[in-house]
Formats: sequence, C-alpha cells, structure tokens
Amino acid sequence: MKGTILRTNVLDSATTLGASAQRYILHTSKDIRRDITIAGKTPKTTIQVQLPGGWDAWNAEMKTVENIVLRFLALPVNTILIMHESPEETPDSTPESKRFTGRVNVFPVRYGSLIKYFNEVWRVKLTAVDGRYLPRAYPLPSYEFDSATALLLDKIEEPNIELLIQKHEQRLKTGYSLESGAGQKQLPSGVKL
Amino acid sequence: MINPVVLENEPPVTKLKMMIVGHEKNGKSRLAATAPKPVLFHDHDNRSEALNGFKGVYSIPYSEPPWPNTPEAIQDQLDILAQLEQSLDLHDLQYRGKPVFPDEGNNTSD
Repeated sequence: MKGTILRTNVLDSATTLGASAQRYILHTSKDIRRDITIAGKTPKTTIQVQLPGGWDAWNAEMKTVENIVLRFLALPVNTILIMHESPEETPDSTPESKRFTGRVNVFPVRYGSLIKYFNEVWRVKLTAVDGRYLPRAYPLPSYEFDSATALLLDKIEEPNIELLIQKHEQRLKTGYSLESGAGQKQLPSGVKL
Repeated sequence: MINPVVLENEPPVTKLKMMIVGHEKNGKSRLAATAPKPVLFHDHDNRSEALNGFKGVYSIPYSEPPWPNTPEAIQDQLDILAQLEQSLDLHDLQYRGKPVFPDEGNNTSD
C-alpha cells in the first residue's frame, strides 16, 4: 500500500534556510568566524555571538543553499522557493540617506544568482481590489520586478497556482498567444477560468 | 547522469520550478499552498501555522536547539532531503527513528 506521495516541495524561505546554514557553518568552522562575547552577570546570561570572519563564511553559506536548492530541483516533483524582497537602492544611497530606484530585488541580493534555476519567477503583492488590499500574483515582468513565466498568464492573477495551470492549459488548447498583441484570440465567452 | 526527454510528447506542465518573491505578509506562503497537492512545506520561518486548515498541506518546522548546542536545523533539512531522494512517500519520512507524519499512509492508495 502506498502512502501520500508528495507532489510539491516548498522551501520557506531561502533567507531563513541560508541563516540556518550560516549558523551551522560558523559554529563548526572556527577558521571562518569571529567570536564576540558579551559578558553577563552570570555565565548563563553571557551572550556569545559568532560572526562571519570573511568571504569564506558567506561563500560557504551560499554554496550550501545552492546545493540544497539544486537537489530539490532534481527531484521529480514541483519545487517552490520562497524569497523575500527589498527595495533596490541607487548607487548613491547611504545608510543615513537612503535613495531608491523604485524597483525591488530579491533579499538577500546575493540570492539573485539562484533565479536562473527557475522557470517561474512570480512576485506576490498586496493589491487594491474593490477597496481592499488582497494578495495578487504578478507572473509577467514589470518596471518594478523582472518576473518570468513559461505559462500563458496575464499581468495580474488570482493567487492560485493550480487554477493558473488550468488556465494555461486551456489557453494552449484554444490557441491563445501572448505574442499576437491586440489581435490575440480571446477565450470563448462560455469558458470559465 | 542524463535523462533524455522528447518534449513534443510531454504535457504542458510537467514540473514546476517556481520562485515566489514578495514582501513580508503579502501572501507568498498562501500562494505556495495552492500548488498541486500534497504540498510539503520545509518551514524555516516557523510560521506555517498561518496555513492551518489548508487541505493537503504538510509542514516540517526546522528550529535550533538552545545555545550552546550545535545548530542542527540545516542538518535536519539535509536529512529530510536525503530521505525524499529515496522516497517521495510522506509515510516513509522519519526523524530520529520515528515517523514524521505517523497518521499518513492509511488513507490513500495509488
């Protein structure tokens, strides 16, 4: 008898996965860390902090995360990696006087190197809908973020992956084409998506 | 290792490789929970209770032991990943010799 066969793995999130990797690396590799002890009144209240001692610590974290992501992607099931975002700063931005470009980047920015492994890069954003702010998926690129998709989807979508896959398959059947511009074929009015 | 595929014969969506990007509390995890079920969350943020009640969604929260023990969340993640490479059956997943989801395996059949 078979049990419950997994169809989708979700890594939630890359940022905290990376933090876990770095904690382990710093704890077990003395050569690439700096130890700072913040004395307390008793040994139990003393805080010991382990900080990256150089690029090796960051590189070791990045390689660990990349290795884990690639192993998940090699499994014969869906893989979803959740990333945080942060506003992109201009080159002349400083900690005291921040300046922004209006775009967003993945956070931490170094994890941008993972994007190349994914076919679907969707942004999720709270969006005003009938006077309320609701989550909406943005699978197509915009000025704010370079989303990407291999599916035939619209700029703003309801946040439901299974329904959006059905929408893509329906559009494939009806010959819908994103490239055909204003003259593109529309779905028959009777088709509910 | 190679795994040749005749793409012409493949269905439109065989395997999602998806990155979801967004600000905190904007619905990233909720969107991921709508993927084809069963969905397994590897929860490093320790906030998957926000998805309580989602049918077909499972979660493994990873957390660290108290200081000064060696951090183990990443080792636990690698251990679970290695098991998934052997079997995608949630019933087979184990942690320290015990089933991760003891109630799974009796309610579905292939």
